[in-house]
Amino acid sequence: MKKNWLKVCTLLLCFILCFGLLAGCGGKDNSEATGKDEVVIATDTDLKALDPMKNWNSSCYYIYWTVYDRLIGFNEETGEFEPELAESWDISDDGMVYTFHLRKDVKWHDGSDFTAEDVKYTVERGIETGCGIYPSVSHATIIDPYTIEFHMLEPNSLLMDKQWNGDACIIKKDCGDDVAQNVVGTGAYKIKEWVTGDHLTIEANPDYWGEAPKVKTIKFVTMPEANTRLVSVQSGDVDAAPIPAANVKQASSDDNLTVLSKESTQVNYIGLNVNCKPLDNKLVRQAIAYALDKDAMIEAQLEGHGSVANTMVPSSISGHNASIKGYELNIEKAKELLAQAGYPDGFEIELASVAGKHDLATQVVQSNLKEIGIKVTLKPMDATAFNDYQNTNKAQMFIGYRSSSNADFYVKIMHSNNIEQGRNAVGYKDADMDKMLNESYVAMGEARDAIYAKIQEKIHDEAVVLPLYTSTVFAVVQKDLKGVDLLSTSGIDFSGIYY
Amino acid sequence: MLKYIVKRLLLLIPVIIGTSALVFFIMALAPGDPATAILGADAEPEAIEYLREELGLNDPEIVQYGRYMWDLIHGDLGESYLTGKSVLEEYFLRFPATFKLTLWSMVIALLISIPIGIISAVKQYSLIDNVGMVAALAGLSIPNFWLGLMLIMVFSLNLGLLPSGGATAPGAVILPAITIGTGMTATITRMTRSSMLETVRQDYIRTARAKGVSSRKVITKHALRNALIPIVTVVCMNFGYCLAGAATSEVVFSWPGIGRLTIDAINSQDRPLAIGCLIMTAIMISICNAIMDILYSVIDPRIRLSGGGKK
Repeated sequence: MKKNWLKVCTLLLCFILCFGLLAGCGGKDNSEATGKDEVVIATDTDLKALDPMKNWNSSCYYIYWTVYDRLIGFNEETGEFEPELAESWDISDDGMVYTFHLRKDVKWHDGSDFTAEDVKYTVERGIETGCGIYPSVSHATIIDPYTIEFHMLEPNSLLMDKQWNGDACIIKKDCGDDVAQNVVGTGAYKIKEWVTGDHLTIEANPDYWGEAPKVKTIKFVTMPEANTRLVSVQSGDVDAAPIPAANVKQASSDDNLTVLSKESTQVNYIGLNVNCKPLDNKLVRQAIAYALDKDAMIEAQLEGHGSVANTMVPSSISGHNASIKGYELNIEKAKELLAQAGYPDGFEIELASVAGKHDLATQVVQSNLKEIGIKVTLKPMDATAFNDYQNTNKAQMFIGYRSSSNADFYVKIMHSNNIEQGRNAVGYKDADMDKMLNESYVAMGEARDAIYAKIQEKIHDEAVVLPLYTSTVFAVVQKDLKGVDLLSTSGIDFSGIYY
Repeated sequence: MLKYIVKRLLLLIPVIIGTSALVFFIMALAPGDPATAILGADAEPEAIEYLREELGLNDPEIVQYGRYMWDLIHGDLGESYLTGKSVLEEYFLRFPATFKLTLWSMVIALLISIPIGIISAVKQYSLIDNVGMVAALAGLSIPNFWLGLMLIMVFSLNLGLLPSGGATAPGAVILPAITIGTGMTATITRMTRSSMLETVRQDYIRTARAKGVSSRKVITKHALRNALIPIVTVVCMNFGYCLAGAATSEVVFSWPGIGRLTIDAINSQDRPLAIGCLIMTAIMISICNAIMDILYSVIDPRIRLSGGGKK
């Protein structure tokens, strides 16, 4: 009996060693990858519905960038708008009428002509669904088949900023809600095959008005598990995939792959609910700000792949105030402020967050605040529950995040009008802040940026929202694959890829 | 037999009503709003309100449930909040993949577990028995998630023999089937062994051996058939659970199955889809139980389907 057990254990040990050896061996040479005619991309979320006015998960944007066009584009290097479906545009002096002159050589994927009627339909549907792509637009008027006017309820400088976003796709007239399943665009690619839950294949549009795509087909396969995505790229089954920071080290060690990165516009911040004592005291809030070690959070949560955020508007967005240096870590100063506020021994507070998103950062916060006597109880929750908790102003302290292509999105959470809707989850009310935000909607160019600069100074001083860090977006691609364009708004544009 | 089938179908009615009510009200009471879950927390309030109105979410919960049940009575499981497609269409788009995976997993599990279980029982305490039991314990203990990733690394990355994910490439079902089958192998092996051990100790087995019947015939013709009832129970139960979808393995292998569909529906508060998937799961498990009962009467003619007990 004893001999048998010895034999069993020996056999088992040998099996485990062999399995581990095989698992640890180097990967195969995947330089031949999937060939030049088809590129396979692994997406992290399912492609279930593709309505640009309702469906906004990360994978949807891969399709929106390739299959649809927008009225205008944006050059991230120069910061200028570029023509796309609109060749040129005029804005009336009072900012109440925007006139777009459209391209005449564009065809939909079903062969019909693109005209101003499609733009009018898109605008009307956008207003009806409340998607926010047409802020303050009252209606659109067709001047001729290739000229259209947007009439405003009030001047709003955000309109142009929104027109180059991934979801500002121009859709075909009268498509209705069918647009979610029946995708017809004007873009460089068109839908070839869509098996829900498995893959979606797009093929080059031979009638595309712009630069012809270099790859015949792109196949998007759904792979929710990050490790599987990385292994698939390493094995050559897939040509490119987005990966989280945790997989960067492993991906970088593979010579057959290239890791692309770009600082994203996602600002992660702590919100302090002013309706919860003692967070109504500015000194307490500033004390918390001084106690936070942002570098440690970046190291813990993002494995070092991120940047400290000193202000709510990230550095890559127009309107960023570079003169704000943020609250430097200073425990003594924090203790001093807390004592001044009447809490020398600290207090207890709850920190809510989305489970799986900020787990390690919240532990750093807990540890940091413990040093100044504040006992933090962590409350991670499911994303849907967190949104509900945050939007009903129940959260005492929370870690949130915002990501956009315009400064307004980051700062409008401070407007008192947004308290009831839940967006102003910290319950902040200030007439001066409201006035500045209202002025920013109508100002343009440098005047608008100057207002944003003041808003950010006030946010910094009030310490109601404490910006922590911006993250980095990563994608791993086969070393010979070019043209993968990582966008700072955390999307990826695959329309220009080639081998 | 017909009476039995009709009776089992009628029993499905309270199951469906109970499942739909339980899931509906649990999801209604859970924090979060379906419109916000679909559009995202950063969506404009107007967009969220528009979608709530479109989906009828502003009505009281009891009215929404009443509307749902009215449609259900007419055979309509509703439409997915996210895609707008009918729930049945969504379910049956994914069902073939889940069925295929379940079938293959079961084949792998049975091919391994039945022979090992029989040999373990016949040669109790032998090396094969001990290895089999330790392997069964290991199979039960190893997390599916880890096993799946290891299999991908070995067979896909290092050896390049099999695809790493998806369901369309040739051989795509092998690795996920091995992953799921491994867990089932453990339970079926142990059940086979214990059931066989009990059977081979019976007097009639000793009699058969004394009569000179060959060992192989004693085991396969006499012992195995009498040991099958508990084995069939475990097999059918596992089959039913697999048809509900193995969400973890489906995520690792990017398998487009029911498990992922159900979990995604619950996470995104897509109530009609979540309720529909769970109702269909309840129906599948009920069908598997019914098949199990029928198999009992086939294996052991003494068992009557009418519930009259043994003759």
